[in-house]
Amino acid sequence: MNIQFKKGVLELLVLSILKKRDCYGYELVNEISKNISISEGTIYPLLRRLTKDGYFETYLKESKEGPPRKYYRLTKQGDSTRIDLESEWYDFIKKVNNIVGGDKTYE
Amino acid sequence: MNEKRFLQFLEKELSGIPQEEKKDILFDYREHFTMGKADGKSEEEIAKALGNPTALARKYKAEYYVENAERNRTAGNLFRAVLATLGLGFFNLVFVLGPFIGLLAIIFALFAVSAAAVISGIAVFTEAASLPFFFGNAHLPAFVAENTAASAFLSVGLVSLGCLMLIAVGYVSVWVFRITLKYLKLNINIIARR
Repeated sequence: MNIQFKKGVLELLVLSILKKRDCYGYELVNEISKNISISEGTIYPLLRRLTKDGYFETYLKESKEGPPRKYYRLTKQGDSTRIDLESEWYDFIKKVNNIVGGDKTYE
Repeated sequence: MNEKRFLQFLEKELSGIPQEEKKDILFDYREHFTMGKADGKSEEEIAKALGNPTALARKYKAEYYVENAERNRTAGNLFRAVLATLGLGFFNLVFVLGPFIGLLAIIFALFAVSAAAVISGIAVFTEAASLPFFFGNAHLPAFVAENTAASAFLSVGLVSLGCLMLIAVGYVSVWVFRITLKYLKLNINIIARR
């Protein structure tokens, strides 16, 4: 996939995954790189920035194997940003599809 | 590259940001390695997927310096933020340094013009005031120099105009500061996510 596309949607991807459940960093990276190939290291600066901006809270949770893990939880502010980004995204692909070939259906 | 070398590179390049933040950042990557190994991946595989630690560190640094300049709005912090952003790529020499120098030049020019107005106002005053003692050496047109009201008016006018312009330059500088930081943030998000 085109690299510029990936950069733009990374934030939406992270917010959407955390909407479903709290995750730790490695889980998030895996969830995304399962579908889209990215340079995995770039997720962490993004998580850090979004945490500082108040979109996530973090907490440490013990795990059965190994040291405690840092979990990310979506805040209210994060969720409202997610909603905005999501509607922007649908708006965007609708417009692109209108030009590229709107009569095709996409899964 | 194995885990140890990856973390070493990262830590070395993170120099300059506070210890606490550095520890936080390294924690994330250490955790990532631990999980990856538990998943049965090799250290080399994990490091390769993470990407270049030096590039990652530069991004953290640029973000840190921009935040820092937002918290403490000093010229020095702004310069550091601009410099850190330059580290993100050659591209930024053109798209950050160029416009930034341009804006600085404009501010400097406005400042010089305002200062010149104040100085000429003072000069008019001194000349008019000293005229009775140094006859014949006037640089001002005679009708101004010999007319006390006219020279007083000119000198007060110039000084006040200069002062007003200086205040305006102050506002412009604050505005440039804010715009620069905004632009740097945008720039970090667009450019450095590779």
